[in-house]
Amino acid sequence: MNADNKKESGEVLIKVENLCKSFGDNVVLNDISIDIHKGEVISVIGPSGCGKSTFIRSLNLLETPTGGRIIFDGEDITDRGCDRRLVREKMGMVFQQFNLFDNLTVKKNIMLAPVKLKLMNKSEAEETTMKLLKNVGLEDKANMYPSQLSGGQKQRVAIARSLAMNPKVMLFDEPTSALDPEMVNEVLNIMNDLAKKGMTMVVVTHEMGFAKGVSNRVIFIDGGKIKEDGTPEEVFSNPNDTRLRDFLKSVLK
Amino acid sequence: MLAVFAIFCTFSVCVYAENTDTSGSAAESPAAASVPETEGVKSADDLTGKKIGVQLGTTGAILAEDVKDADVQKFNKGADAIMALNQKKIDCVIIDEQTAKAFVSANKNTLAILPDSFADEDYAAVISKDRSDLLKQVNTAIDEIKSSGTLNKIVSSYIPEKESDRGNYHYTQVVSQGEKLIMATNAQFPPYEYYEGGEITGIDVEIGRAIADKLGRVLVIEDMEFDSIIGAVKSGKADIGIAGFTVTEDRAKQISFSNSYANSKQVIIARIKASAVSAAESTVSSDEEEVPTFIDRLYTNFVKDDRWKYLTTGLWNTLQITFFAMVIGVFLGFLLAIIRVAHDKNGRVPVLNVIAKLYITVIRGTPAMVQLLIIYYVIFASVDINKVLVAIIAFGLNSAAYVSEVVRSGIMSIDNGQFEAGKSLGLKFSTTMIHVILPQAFKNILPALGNEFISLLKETSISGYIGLMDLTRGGDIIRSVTYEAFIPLIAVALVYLFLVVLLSAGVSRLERRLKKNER
Repeated sequence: MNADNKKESGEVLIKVENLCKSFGDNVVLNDISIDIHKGEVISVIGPSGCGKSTFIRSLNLLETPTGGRIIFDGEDITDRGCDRRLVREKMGMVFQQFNLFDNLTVKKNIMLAPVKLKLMNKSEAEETTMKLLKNVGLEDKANMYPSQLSGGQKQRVAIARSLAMNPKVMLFDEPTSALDPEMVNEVLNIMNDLAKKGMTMVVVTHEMGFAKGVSNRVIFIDGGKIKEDGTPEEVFSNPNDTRLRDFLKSVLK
Repeated sequence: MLAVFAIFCTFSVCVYAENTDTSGSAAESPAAASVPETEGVKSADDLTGKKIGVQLGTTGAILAEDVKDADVQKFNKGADAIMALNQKKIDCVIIDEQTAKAFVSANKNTLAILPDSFADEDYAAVISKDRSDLLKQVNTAIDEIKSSGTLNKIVSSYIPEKESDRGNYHYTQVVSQGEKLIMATNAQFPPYEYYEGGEITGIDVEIGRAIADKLGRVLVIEDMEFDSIIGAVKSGKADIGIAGFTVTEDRAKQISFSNSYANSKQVIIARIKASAVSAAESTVSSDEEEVPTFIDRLYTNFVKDDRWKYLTTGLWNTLQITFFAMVIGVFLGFLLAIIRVAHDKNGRVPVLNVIAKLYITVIRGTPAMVQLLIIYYVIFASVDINKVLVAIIAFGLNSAAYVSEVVRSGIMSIDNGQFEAGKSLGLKFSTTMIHVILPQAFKNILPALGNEFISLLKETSISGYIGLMDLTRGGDIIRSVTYEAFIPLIAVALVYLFLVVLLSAGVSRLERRLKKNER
């Protein structure tokens, strides 16, 4: 597989070994193993309920795995002694529902974590914030509250908020699924820019355009297992798995 | 058992003879001749099956139970029983003779004391059974006060043969510093103990002072509910109880009685028949017996003897209790809520969570009044502690349980995404809580919190049960001296209403401000 070539190329940032997750009797992730390399932009696709959201949420331990290991930056983060908080500082996450802090202005949303975690002082944080807001084209919204923004604007702020922590990897959990169609592109463009700058990204998405055009690796999850893993060309033009073929047929109609 | 009986017999023997003359028959016999015809109850033999009003914990209340088929209704205050009698809710009131005289003189046209008394009784002080030394000292003191004639002077100043002799003698305490002698009483029982000009005064109070002098101690008076006094003396909250206690066998099992210092009768008060009233009115109307105007009544209830001060002192205490209880309630309530949420969301602090849950269950599962009494009479039983502080602690602890559930519901109403966003940024649970969750939750729960504050303010009206003079109690004291229900009760109600309106306005203002802030 071509993907193997990629794996050789970059240093492994996240190593997932035999990851399992079940909620009671319901097995959601069943023995998932994958190496995520620095600089990779991975699209995670699959039918709804396949476990792709649980997979990405397990990476920063918002879901606690019931089996297997996750090695991030050389550290076993599933170990009991590991400080999850420190892990999460280095993994940015963008949610489907944005999850901006409703009681804080845009600027304070972004500044809160770097200042409270003493990564920056107030003026540094403010400077960084304004720079990030400029990058996402929202510097004029700095003093507004989330409720005054459109969905697309909220998601761009959420991306800026994660970037303010200077993360090693960005996790996107269906970042455009809650957006009106005309706003999807403004968010995808930001993600595209980010990919070009070499950010390691894991993106759970239904945007096949993004998966094809921007990501350099696509994994297809079905029934809690990785069924397909390869470059966009491999996965989209020559799918091996019949379930993937059905899935692609239904989404690319 | 035998010993108890022996003591009991001694009490009966040492009836104080001289006193009987002044307080009893001499003053009463002319009145007896001119008793107008009463309705409902005509004599002591006429009580069977009647509705009898008594004051809770008094001898009258105990003895009335023995009346055949009678419906005995126990009131917290004698004045309340009199009120009920006037409103025809009951047929008669059985109460101590001297108190009865005071009540009847305030209700000359409607009430009368029946000529035949219900029972005779001896008054004695109560002292804890554990303190036989003190009992001995007090007995010696009482004997000395009797033989020196001081006792007689005190009694005849309050219950004079001639009206001109009223108040011709007052005993002032000589000893001004040193160990305290805490006397528990119930200042709703004129002429033995009652409020006058903001001070508790009366026969028992002056006798208490004379006893304290003999003991070389300074008398400190604690006013409380009559039925709380024995408990207070037993628990050590007070050294001695002097409140017109009649020596009874049941009480003697609980507590030691001193030698008796006075005797009295339980008499029956009944309503004068309507026809007799008009006759009485026509004969007295030439005198100054006019129906008081509303202004007169306002004057009697608030201006005379500076009675408004009972309300202002009470209001001040109510405000202090409410404010500080709110502070404790909010602080502790938030803490409890956060403990419970930290457990429910993250599975942390399991032990604290169990404690918090237990606390909330116990506090919400028992009445605030019972909690207040437990804190005062059980937890702080042998500690000399400020009653306002006790009330603040009791109401604060109580309010915390309710506040915590309000806060918890507020926190749970915040979208889980807010918690997850905080987590995903590496923020500590506490940081997310303080900077993100609580500000949002606070805005949502403000109306419910305001509601809790309003309940708390009104709930403090039970503070009177530990003898604390709050607003309600202030009104009660006025009621007990003016024998009027309407004006003091309405006044107290209006003050509470005003406070609640003020509080609600403050809360909605805060609500608007927070809304403006965040849109």
